[in-house]
Amino acid sequence: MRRYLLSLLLCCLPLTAGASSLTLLSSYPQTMLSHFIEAFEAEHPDIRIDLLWRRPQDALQWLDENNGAGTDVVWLPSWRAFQQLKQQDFLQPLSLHHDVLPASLGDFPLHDSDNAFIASEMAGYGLFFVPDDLERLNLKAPERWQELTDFAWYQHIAMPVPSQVGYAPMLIDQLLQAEGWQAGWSQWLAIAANSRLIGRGSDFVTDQVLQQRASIGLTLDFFAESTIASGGNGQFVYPKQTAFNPAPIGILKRAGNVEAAELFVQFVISHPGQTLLLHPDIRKKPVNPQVYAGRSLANPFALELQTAYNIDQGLHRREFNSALFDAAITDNHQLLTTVWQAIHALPASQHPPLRQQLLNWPVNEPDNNDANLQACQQRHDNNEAEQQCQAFQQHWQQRFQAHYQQLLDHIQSR
Amino acid sequence: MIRLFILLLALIPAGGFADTDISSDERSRRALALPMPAMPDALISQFNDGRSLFNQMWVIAPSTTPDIDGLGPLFNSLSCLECHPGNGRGRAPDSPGEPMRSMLVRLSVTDDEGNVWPHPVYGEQLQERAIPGVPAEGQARVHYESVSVTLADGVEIELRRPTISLSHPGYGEFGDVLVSGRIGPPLIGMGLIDAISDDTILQWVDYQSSLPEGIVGRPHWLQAAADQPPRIGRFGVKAGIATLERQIAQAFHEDLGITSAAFPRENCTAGQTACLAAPSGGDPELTEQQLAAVNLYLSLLAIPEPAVETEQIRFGRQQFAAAACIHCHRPAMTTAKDAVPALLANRQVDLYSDLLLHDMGPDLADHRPEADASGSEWRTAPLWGLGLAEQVADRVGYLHDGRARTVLEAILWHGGAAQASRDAVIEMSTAEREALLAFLQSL
Ligand code: HEC
Ligand code: HEC
Repeated sequence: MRRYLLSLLLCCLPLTAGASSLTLLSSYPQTMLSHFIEAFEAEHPDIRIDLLWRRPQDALQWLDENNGAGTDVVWLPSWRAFQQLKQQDFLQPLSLHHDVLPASLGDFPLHDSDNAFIASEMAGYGLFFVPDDLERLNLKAPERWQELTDFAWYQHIAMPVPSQVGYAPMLIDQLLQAEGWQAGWSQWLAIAANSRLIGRGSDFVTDQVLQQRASIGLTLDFFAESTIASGGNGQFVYPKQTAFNPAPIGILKRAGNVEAAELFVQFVISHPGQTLLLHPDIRKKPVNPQVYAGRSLANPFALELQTAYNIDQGLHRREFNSALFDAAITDNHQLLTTVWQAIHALPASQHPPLRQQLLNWPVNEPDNNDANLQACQQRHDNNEAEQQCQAFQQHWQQRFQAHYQQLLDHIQSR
Repeated sequence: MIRLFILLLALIPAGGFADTDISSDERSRRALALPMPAMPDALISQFNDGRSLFNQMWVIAPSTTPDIDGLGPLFNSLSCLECHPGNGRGRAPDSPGEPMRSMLVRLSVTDDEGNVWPHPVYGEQLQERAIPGVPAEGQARVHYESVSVTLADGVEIELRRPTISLSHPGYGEFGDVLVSGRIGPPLIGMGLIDAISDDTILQWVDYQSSLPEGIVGRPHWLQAAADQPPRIGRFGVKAGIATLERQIAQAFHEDLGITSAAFPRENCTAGQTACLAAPSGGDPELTEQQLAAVNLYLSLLAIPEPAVETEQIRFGRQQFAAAACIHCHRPAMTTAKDAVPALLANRQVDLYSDLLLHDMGPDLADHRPEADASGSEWRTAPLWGLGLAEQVADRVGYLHDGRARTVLEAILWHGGAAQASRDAVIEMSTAEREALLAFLQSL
């Protein structure tokens, strides 16, 4: 036995000269991080990445508590998080070459105006379905979100709830921005009335579709495309109007290893780095347009889509919208679908006025100074704000409930 | 008993046996991550919870996400998925310059009487990572020496013989330490393996005793506590764990540093003071519900159906029997009638393992005994889903320590009780060998 011990124990290797470590704070899933860390470390064998994993909100809190120290690179798919980090003056201006990235996608900037962070990848909203299933149900794959307001889609849609599913708020808001506040919300009411709601802890939207609990799902491209690349037999399309959400990366002002941090960020936006995004496990959209060349890939820079989106506006009213969505939809979903069904059980000639009544959106578009908007925006930071936002949500929950009930009684009394 | 053997060949009909309640015919990247088709609707949400906990990157405490914090103080990975990508297998680094990413190293020491103990300072597993403020235990590297084997048809195969070195000790010299490197094995049919009775496993020992080849495996009897009857271990590469629940709780504890009711204390030894002083993510960090969800998830993953049988595959299956592989890689077993959830009860499962320990000779030995298993004994690796290994992950390894880069290399490392099988493969004609490999790839 002793003999083996000796042969097994080669003596301690000294630390490789110049070996350094790089701390990366991220909230990406294992599959994505594995590919990037492995490829980066292979290219830079003298740098070892220490991963600090936290969800975006938790990461912000942690950085706040540590006064922006303790990590080198921050990489979170959350524009909002980076705006906050910038506001707190935690980020250092990037001095690396990032001119491989275009200035913007549509009017969405891919570089922060003060160079505090840049986009690293992006994801767009769209629809996932199994073409054969739709055909069997006599449903046509939609080209616009609005087509999903048709009662033909009743109980066929899987829709994420914005207060519970991280990517849903922008999905909701992009339509509000494109269609206008009232029209956009009316359309969401109708789509939601046709939908199964997907909350925290539910199946993935893609699973709902593949397992035929829904026929179409509202989701992000990479969820659908990585499912397809892994063997799921669905299809993903972008509606003619949609939005893309770029995910930023940045370097901390108090980074201990700026040199390695720059190498990492440079790697992420480089051609080899961006190509990793196409891996079947990931399927995010590269922000470096060169990567699309010669590949049969939907290229957001070249697609004929309307992708106008004001991110600042979206972020400002994100929590407000989510509270309203819960008030009008999540917390009244049973009743909403009941009225919806009752309306469509009547002869077709009677639908339009009743639909209009049901879908009429009673809440005005808030401006940025709206007290409830402000309260909801801060609901996770402060108790008083939380109470005010809750009261606001509850007020509207009751109003919507009364409205739906009234309409239902009206229909039933006919 | 010979009759049993004939019966067993009859049990694997063309295309294998497909139980469409619990298996899937998908042979895609996500093939090992699908639920059993007959999973009751009532279990979907628990299954999903289990999936997200298995895929979860765990967080250092304290955090604003208490349900997923408690990582470390010492750990190997942030998630289960890192070592079991796509629920499949991991791999070994290809050179000493590369860190272990889906592999870990077990440790022990021997005393003067030859008794084996966990390392007094480093415990039973080297944790290569730690939370800030706590030193990591050290680094393990794999070094290879090349060995070549020439097959009867002239083909030469390069094998790589690994040795493991430890460096950067975080808590003083390692001293004379026994090491065993292991890659994450594929997690196929875990609940079904859990649901096989000890008697079913023992039947095969009787069968093997009747064989002229002298291949007789040994159940790894484990005594959990003095007042409990011993049970046959079946999880881990030396079958050192008897139940799936225990295996999962231990993985959380040793690999991620997450405490649970079964492992209530952090994985720090008495000498690791910074580790002992680190903040905890809850008491325990993994709740009973979370453990149950991961258990249910791993239990209700669909098992892969073998690919459609071709002429070549059928011929290969005959080679598998002729080379005596089938005596250890037992093609079929039936799970207990009273297994829970009921979906797992009384199912025929084609795992291609007897779940017994076999002496595989000095070349495969790690020289590190584990419970009652010696350094050269290993549990017959289940071969179901073998052909999906390279589908579900980009780069994979075979055998306990991932030394084999291909299935053929894995076969050529067989020694000890399997020496004759290995020699038979070396002597095969090209067509026979290719058919055998095609059969294995069809699983
Ligand atoms: C650092 C790599 C690593 C991580 C992380 C890891 N495992 Fe493992 N897993 C292994 C290795 C190696 C084995 C074989 C262990 C042995 O032989 O003792 C194994 C074995 C298993 C087995 C038994 C497989 C069999 O065939 O008997 C299960 C079940 C399992 N792991 C589940 C998990 C779960 C759940 C997690 C997350 C809490 C996890 N693993 C995290 C490496 C890992
Ligand atoms: C004496 C019992 C025995 C016989 C006979 C035997 N095996 Fe094995 N086999 C094992 C054991 C034990 C292992 C696990 C060894 C390890 O992990 O180091 C194994 C591992 C394997 C593996 C690697 C599986 C993995 O998941 O990495 C393959 C492939 C394999 N055997 C194929 C065969 C073939 C083909 C034959 C016949 C030519 C055969 N075996 C004969 C016991 C046996």
